[in-house]
Amino acid sequence: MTDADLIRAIQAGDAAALETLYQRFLPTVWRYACARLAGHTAAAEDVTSETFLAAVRQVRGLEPEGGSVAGWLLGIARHKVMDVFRRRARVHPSPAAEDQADASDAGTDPAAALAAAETRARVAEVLDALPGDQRAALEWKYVERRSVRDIAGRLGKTEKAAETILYRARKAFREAYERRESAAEVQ
Amino acid sequence: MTNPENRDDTPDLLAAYDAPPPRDEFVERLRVRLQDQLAAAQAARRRLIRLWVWVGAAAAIFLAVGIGWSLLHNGGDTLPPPPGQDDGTKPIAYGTPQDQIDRLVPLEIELPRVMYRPWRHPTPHEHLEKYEGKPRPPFLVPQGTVNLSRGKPLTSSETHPIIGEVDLVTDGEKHDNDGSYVELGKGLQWVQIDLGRRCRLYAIVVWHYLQAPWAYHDVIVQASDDPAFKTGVRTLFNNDFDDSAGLGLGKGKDLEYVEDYRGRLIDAGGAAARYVRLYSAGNTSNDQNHYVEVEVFGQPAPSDGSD
Repeated sequence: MTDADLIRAIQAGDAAALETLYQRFLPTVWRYACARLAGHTAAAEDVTSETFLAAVRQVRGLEPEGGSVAGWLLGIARHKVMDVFRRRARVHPSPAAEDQADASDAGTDPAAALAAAETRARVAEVLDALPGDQRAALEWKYVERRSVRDIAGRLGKTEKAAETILYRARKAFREAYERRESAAEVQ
Repeated sequence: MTNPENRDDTPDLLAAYDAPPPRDEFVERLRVRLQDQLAAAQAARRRLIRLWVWVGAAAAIFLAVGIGWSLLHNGGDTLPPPPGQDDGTKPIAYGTPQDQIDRLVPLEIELPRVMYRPWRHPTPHEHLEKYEGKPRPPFLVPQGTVNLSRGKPLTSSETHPIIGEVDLVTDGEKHDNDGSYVELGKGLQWVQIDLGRRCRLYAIVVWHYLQAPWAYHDVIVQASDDPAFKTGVRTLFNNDFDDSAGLGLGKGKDLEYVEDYRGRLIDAGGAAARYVRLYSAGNTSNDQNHYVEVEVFGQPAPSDGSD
């Protein structure tokens, strides 16, 4: 079932379609939330919950063929993450201290955990800038290790088209990541 | 900086992007919440659809009743046929001499469009005309008969009307809104139209009120050349069945009637007069007196009193 089919079915009140959507995109939203929140799992759970609940509220107004479902969900998640940052800024005026505390959640070696968190955050930022289809294809291929056929089915494309999307996504990701790395080195 | 064309560490970077899976308990709890929310949204949508169906059905019924009512009633009045013309289906020439019959034409009366209102009609009694929806048969008048009262000056027993101005009675506007009628105080009140010159009158149509099916009491219509209505008074209509108006006319023979958009057509019988006076004394709902419009149809008459 393609993403557009899923949206149409959910708009008609199909609970099974909602379950499929949930299973398909929960990992994507969850990883995004974890990466942007530096592994702070409690906050990531809040963001993930609020994202899906908001999606169900908004799904009736969504145009099924209007774009990537992953892009739509991550757009919601992005706003929810910003809400978390705003709340934190009110409670903890020093973001650096908060980041360190979050990093310490991620593992026993604080330095390694911090480096891993930085990498994840940077990857998340780069992915965030990619078109929805490209981002989803990359995640499904390299994080979830799904086959091209599976990815093509989810995107509602042929395998050839899915491979093209993957090629372009890799190239766009690599270039954007390089630009971000060089900008970080300059700082 | 590394040349991006020579390096493809995308898989490694993305693998690093992976996160530990969410807790099973969290996943299950969120799943249940989502399904609940979807079910609640569907239920709300069904309620909204049901509500719109009911609203639509009610609007359709209301519209159908209104249209039916308009089609049924816009054609005429329930004016009873005069003596000698039994079924009321033939054109009626009230008070018109036989030798003028060939030169008669139907009187054209511009009827107002009113919104249907589900008011209860007054309780029937022996002096109240039975309300029927029959079309009013054409009322024949001599060719050249016109509305003589449009814009003509008025006087009234009420110098300060409760609502509106007395000028509204002949302003040509017949609407079922609050700006279209004059409301006079309680008790017996009159309005008087000065036609400007002596005229031969064939019909007077009066609309007291268009917003409710009330029946007015002591409706008396008179014509005279005397503005004080002391001399030469001709009574054209009188439903003061108990002589409560105290005008010395005795008990009226006409029936009270229910107001509607058709107004009440009164046969003036070709009377010659300059002034027309209309009385009333409250209605079946309140003590006030109302006029939306009065139209006096006729032709200029010889001023020598030859009629």
